[in-house]
Amino acid sequence: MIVRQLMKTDFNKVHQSTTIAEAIALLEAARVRHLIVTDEKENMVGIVSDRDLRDASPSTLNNKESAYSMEKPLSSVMTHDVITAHPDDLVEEIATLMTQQRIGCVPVQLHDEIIGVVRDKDILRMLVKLMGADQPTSRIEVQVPNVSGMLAEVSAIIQNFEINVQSVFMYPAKRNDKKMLVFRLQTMDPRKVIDEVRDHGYEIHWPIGPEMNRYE
Amino acid sequence: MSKGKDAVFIYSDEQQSYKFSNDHPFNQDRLKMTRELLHTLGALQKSDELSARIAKENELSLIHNQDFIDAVKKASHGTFHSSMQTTFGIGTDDTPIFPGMHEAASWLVGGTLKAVEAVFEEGYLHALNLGGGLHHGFRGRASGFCIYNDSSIAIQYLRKYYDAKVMYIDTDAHHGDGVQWAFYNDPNVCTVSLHESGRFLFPGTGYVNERGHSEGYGTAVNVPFEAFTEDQSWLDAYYTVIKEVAAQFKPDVILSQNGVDAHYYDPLTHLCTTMNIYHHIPTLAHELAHKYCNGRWIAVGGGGYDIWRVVPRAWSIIWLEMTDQRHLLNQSLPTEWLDRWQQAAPVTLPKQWYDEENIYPSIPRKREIEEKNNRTVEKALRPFRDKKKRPFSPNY
Repeated sequence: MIVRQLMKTDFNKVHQSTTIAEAIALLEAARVRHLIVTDEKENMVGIVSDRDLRDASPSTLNNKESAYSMEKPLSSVMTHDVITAHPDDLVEEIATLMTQQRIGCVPVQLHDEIIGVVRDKDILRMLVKLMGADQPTSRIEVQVPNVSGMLAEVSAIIQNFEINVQSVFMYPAKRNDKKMLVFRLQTMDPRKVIDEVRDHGYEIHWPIGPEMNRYE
Repeated sequence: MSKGKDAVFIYSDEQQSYKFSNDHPFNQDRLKMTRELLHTLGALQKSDELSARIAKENELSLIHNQDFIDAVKKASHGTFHSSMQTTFGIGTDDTPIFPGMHEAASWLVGGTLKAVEAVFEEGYLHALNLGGGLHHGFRGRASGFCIYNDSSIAIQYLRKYYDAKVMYIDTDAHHGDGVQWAFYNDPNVCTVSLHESGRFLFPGTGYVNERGHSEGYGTAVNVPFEAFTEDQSWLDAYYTVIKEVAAQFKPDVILSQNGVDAHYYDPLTHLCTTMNIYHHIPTLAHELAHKYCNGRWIAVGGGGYDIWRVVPRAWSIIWLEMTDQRHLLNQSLPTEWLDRWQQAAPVTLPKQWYDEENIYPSIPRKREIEEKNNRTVEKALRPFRDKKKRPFSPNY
């Protein structure tokens, strides 16, 4: 999946001369956490987050402090050096970038123009879909050796039962030489599949018996 | 209340025709075994029974889309396209096609509608249709062994013809997704489902944060239990949640779905409850029906895949509770019935109405499970306990 498929094209822009007070009102009204800051020609010159604005506001505990700072323009508190994405970037690349840089919003730039934004919540929504959590399914977890061909072999077993796979993902197991495969199967009765996978020598991590404790 | 006069048992042999195949876990021999057990006990007379009926097509379409009904009819009469699997969920491993499936599914729906009529037209206080409770059926799609959703149709019927506020209580181990989504926006239908967490178990939904939408916010309640939950924790949640929700929602009628697959013996699920909970479930439903609904209580069946050791006992108790014949539970199960069915059973049939102790190994995570379930109950009831945000108060 690429950024173009995920980005939000309707986002909030403000001019750099907007005051901090006005920007806070705007954030609250639009219920967003980031504003793209532009110059006269609508070119992006920075980005500002709700946290930048909160840091610039006087403390609620100190009533005497003048509201002077609230009248300063956004250009005084915004981030000038904005990290951007390209619409053809892979989503996982941008997700990595957001985690590393600890940012919640990345503007998407094409030919000097901002055409959208990707926010942390867009990434989360994609994760829900990827995991197939929005369809009626049973979930099974299989631990396999961390070598090539394992996904294909387990999938081939499932294929024999004419059960539709709603989603599949894998993640590293605790042990380096193992990997965990997670299948969401469109069936209420996965017992036959589970037995067959186990008979092929793979370790079923879910479902398990009540006497076992997989959380430790 | 006079013995046995106020309740009616709905049944007809056609309900047994809902049969996917010989080795499919959904097995309607359950109905036969339960009814025979009650007959042998002397707890169910001919005069207590009413025949089920077949639902009409315009009744099915109270909930279901026409193209789905048409597809089921076609499949029922031998025409099948593989596209029906993905579009309508039929012809799958869970819901295979069988001749006459449209009619068989319509009989189950008709049974629940007959139960509604018995209570709202014929003056009975309580009605039991164990052939109903197919709670996974969606408007346009079969799912999880369910074709038509009798409970959704019956609720819509109650809304349309009697303008009744309905509290739907679902104690099947699987989330009652079909019924929940059908009334997710409806403030006059409160669906409460207590089930094993969807983290692993089908259908995967039923999170505590599913609470209904727009005007119906607050009228969907979900209690997802941790795997391996035991009796005490299950019952604590059941009593707390059902009592508080009923007290605020004030229903006109209770429809309880009595899937009995939360039992440790059930092969499809991972909870560790025993017969104990099936003694309590109908007792509270009965009590609340008299407290809030002038006695109006409709009960249906549902899941239950240990048809030998669990279903006949658990379902019989519902009828004994409805008819105030619980004294019959003080004796063993009738030898005549045990002898007859033991021959067919691959397991030893229990002779008492409660299970023996230690039918399952001790659970290492017991305390964590109880703690997690307690927190789930608190979360589920949060909107009901926040006085400013009570879902059913006039100011909300």
